[in-house]
Amino acid sequence: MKNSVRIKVDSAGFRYPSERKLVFENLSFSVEEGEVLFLLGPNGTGKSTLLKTIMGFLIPERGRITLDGEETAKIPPPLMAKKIAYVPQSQVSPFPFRVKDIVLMGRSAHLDPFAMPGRRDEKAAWEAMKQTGILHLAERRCDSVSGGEWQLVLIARALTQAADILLLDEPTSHLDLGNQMKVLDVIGDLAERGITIVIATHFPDHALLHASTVAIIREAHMLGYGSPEETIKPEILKAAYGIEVHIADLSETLGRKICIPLSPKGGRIRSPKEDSREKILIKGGDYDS
Amino acid sequence: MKKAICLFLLFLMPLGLVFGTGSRESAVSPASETPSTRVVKDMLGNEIVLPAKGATYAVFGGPVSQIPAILGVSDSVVAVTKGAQMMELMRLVDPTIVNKPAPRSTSGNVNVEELLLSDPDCVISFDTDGNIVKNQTSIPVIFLEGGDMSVTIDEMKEEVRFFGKVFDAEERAEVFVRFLEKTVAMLEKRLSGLPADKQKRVFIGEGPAHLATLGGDTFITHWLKAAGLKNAVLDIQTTTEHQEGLHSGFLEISMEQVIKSNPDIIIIDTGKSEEIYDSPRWQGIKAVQNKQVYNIPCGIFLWTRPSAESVVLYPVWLAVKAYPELFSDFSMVDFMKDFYKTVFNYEISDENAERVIQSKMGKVVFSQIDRKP
Amino acid sequence: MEVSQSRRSKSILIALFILLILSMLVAMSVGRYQVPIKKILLVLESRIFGTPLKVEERIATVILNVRLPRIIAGFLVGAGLAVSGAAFQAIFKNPLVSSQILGVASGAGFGAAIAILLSESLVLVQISSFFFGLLSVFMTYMLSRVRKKAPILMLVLSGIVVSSLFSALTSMTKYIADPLNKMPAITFWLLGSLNHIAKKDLYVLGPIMLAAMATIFILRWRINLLTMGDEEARSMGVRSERLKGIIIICATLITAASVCLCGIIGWIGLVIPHLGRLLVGPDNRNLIPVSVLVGGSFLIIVDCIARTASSSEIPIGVLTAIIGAPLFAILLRRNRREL
Repeated sequence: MKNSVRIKVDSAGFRYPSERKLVFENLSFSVEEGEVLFLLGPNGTGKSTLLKTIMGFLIPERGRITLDGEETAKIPPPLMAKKIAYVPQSQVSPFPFRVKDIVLMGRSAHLDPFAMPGRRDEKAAWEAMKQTGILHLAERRCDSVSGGEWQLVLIARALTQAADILLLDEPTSHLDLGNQMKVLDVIGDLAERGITIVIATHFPDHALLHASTVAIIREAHMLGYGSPEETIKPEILKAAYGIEVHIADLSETLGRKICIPLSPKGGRIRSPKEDSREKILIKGGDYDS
Repeated sequence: MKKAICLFLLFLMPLGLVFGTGSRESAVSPASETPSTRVVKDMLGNEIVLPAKGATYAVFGGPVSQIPAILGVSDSVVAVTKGAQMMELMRLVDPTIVNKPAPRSTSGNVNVEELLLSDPDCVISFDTDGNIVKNQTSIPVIFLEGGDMSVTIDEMKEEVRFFGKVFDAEERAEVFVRFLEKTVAMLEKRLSGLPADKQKRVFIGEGPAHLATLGGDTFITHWLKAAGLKNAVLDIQTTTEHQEGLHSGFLEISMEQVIKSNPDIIIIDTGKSEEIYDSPRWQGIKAVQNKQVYNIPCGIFLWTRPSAESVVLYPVWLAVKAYPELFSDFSMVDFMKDFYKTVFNYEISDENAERVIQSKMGKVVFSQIDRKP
Repeated sequence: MEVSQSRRSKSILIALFILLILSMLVAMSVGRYQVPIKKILLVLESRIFGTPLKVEERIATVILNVRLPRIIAGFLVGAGLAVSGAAFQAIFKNPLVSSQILGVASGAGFGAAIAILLSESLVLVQISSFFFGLLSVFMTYMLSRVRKKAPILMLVLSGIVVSSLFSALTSMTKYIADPLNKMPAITFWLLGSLNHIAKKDLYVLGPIMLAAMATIFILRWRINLLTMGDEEARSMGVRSERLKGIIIICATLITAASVCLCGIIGWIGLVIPHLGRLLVGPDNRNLIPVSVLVGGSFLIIVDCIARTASSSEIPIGVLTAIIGAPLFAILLRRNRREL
């Protein structure tokens, strides 16, 4: 039984020094090796903050957050970088580095402070770019790539760190459909290789695709924690996001369940102009009707 | 609407106070003398009316501040120049100067309020300060001209004579002029046997790096000539441009140029000559090899500016340093005592005379006198 | 993986190195004191091989004690300020800063001013300016500390405060100094000039500057990571605070030493890295060496002009701007697209 606990969050609470309100409070959960944890919750619940405390950037006010038994804020960065890679929601660099040089930065975890990246590191960067499908962007200046492409660059950079835990902060937020799937595929591959993954995301549907565990946070507290089946349920999601969702079991055709958000007002199929009076109403998100 | 107009007028009132206050109009018609006034012409040709007796003056300018002491009219000077006021020997020669208001520090820096408090009948100054006084007060200005770093010896005579006219003390002015001429003649006589090619070359090296110099177009060339010496950088013009941070007339030249000019004597104004003797950059120069690097003396004012004191004493001091063999029977101290007594009516002690030559007379640092080692 | 871009960078580096050597040779042979090349070689020969001098002592003095130290100082200061500027631009994630942002130049200027006021010794002036340069950055750092870290914004603000403080103190010093001697001396000193360089200045300050530059040089790839921000750099294994601290100390040493050697020379730390970026991009693996070469050559060439163009020394701070600005403008126009 190799599933040892890697990350343990123990009654953790965090508050920014200048604020009164706690960003999150009394959170307890653990992430085992090989687990794929999806963090869900509305904007501003502190998913990013939670990730940062796990990374050791921030120190929890209450409770403890440990990695392999040690408090994350106390682990020296060089050691940390070998264990966890982090994909932030990041602004593009103020300097026009080339994409390949940005990706190469991830290799610093494996280099001495005074060393320069060499062949091996460049190869790792190349592999990472291939895996994320951005090889064709390698020579491009990073200020000329789109927001979505930039996200893929950051993921590639995290991959070069060759860590066995990966934290991603809303990695699919700016991506088009194709790229979303690409990222999810990469995540899927990594999960299969046994990489431990924690993702903060807005898309419950993606959780259904790859998650082994889901945590739903709202207003500083955990609303739900458990397997996707247990947590991605209409009641819980309505409590979290304030809207209705429809969960359909398409195991026969697609091999998975899907989760679609429903607008409270229902939808309308808009017909072409000649037939403007005819509008077909679609059922609203109210199960009881 | 009415409210608006009232408010508007209210705002205009202070303006009226400022502009409406009458100021004494300067005389447009040609000045005429009356029994209680006299007319003085300044160097620009303007005519200024002064009280015939008991006129009071403000004197702006470093080197010229000593002239009232020469003329014996220090009592009539009610506002002085700060730099001059701070010099130790100036305070000994004219003890009253300490307590007088000093509205002018450097050229262009005039504290107008202080000047108005002292209430002089006129201000004697050069154009920069004079224009400030003219624009902001109604005190008549007696404009000086020239007096910059390129004056000649004759122009120095004229400057003192001019002051003599202004202060109505022309005889005392002539005392100075005679002494100056006597000195020039004395030097000429002693140096008569000196062939032109044996004339030594002098480099003035001021500033901490000893590289700020006075070029061929400055007064020093004439002072040196009177002393049988040549300016080592005769070909360099230093009055044409102005380097910020340096007094006008001075320009910093490169070390190479000094080496190239290879002077026989170097005059410095700060630091010790040992610095130059020990410095690798100054090796090979004649003045260094012959150990002829000297600190410039300082008396009533810096000798390195064209003043009445400097035009008499500086060439003599230089000549003695350069050609000691021609001045073996000459006592610089005695000469100085004669000068200060005759021209400034001041008996300088032997000790103080020595201190002047050794550059140990108090100069200006901070706003207090520094008795330098 | 040998892409044309890295080959291009290599050839640029080689070309710039040749430029540096050439500028040094030119600087050796020009000057107001005309020395024929032959005599220059004789002087150098006797110096290197220890053989007796075959020319006048004065000529040897010009070559070895005046020009050579000037050239070395020009290289050190030009390269040093450029490298410091590049490193600071990375730390502050802003291409518009120079190493003076933390107040080192103002502090060093004040140190010089107060020493000029109170003493006659040039050595004391240098020691004082160096000391106050370091002190001012220390003050900036202490002022900016928030819970053991020094966030960028706080550093910048503290730097402004400390700079202003020392500038004001310098002005005060000039005000109370006597207007005839000291005040002009202070103003002139602050203007910047390589005219006062003596060999012994270089013996002490040279190694310091070289050591600091070498440190930044070795760390140049890591500095790239700092441009992504403290958190991201940390996530990649960089001890941000420590690295920033080392860079700041090195850059401060370099800048303080530069002010000590030759007064305040602006422009270089700000613009040479820009020029470098236009040539080889922002990757500090290339940018740092390019800054060294371009900064060094630039100051050496400008200094040649400063001491030969007219019969008096032109203040070098003025020249670096007058020459640098049009040059920079031309390059900007050429590379409009890239920006």
